[in-house]
Amino acid sequence: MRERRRSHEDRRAQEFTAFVAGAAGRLLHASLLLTGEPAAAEKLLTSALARTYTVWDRLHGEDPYARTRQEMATRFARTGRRHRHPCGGALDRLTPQERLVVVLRLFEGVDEEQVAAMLGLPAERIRAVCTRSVATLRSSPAPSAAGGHAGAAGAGAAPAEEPAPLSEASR
Amino acid sequence: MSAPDRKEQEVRRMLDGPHPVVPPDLARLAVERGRRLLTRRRALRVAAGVLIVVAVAAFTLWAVTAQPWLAPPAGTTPPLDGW
Repeated sequence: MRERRRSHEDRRAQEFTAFVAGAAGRLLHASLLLTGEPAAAEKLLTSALARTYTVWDRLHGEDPYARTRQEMATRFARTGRRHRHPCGGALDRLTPQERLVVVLRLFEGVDEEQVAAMLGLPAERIRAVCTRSVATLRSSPAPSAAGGHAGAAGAGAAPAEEPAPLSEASR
Repeated sequence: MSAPDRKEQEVRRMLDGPHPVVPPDLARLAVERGRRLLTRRRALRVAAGVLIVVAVAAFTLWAVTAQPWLAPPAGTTPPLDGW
């Protein structure tokens, strides 16, 4: 009984390690874009992978990559306040929520509806946040203008229950 | 329609690039942590089961000894008439 469980665990660990070998590069890239800092990115990815490991036998055909990405997004959304201050990386001028949306929509290419479902926000709001983030990223990287824009965007992003004026403004 | 798409493409290109180097022990750390999580969950489940069994046993024992469904003995004596 114990022997069988042991061999089962070993096989699971082997399958999981093979999955990590193939997927970790891209996942770590996404994590680095989110956190902007290598140590935090590795920490976020390790916890997400550990959670994926615990459900490895119960995936039922679900893509482990998508599952890990979801875990990472959920965890980052929960601990986003910790990453509020820009800490380097390509997206350091965006708020944590904007970074999350940009990484999921543009880097990972997840559907708007799926991102909305993942983050528990209406799809229009995802589109608005994405449009605003693209505008921020394309604007000139002058620190003063960027700071002003990021501040205004952050203030606008705070009340989650007012998606209408934001989406209106983005059109 | 095409202008926002073009802008998004530009940002996509900006985000794409070589992946960072993955630390060699990442998978091992994740497996260890995942196993710890599973062990903790299993222990919690066992503890919850033991707790339920103990609670049911204690309740049964109390019910059998106290027999709370029986009417309590009358606290006052009925008045004595007809003497």
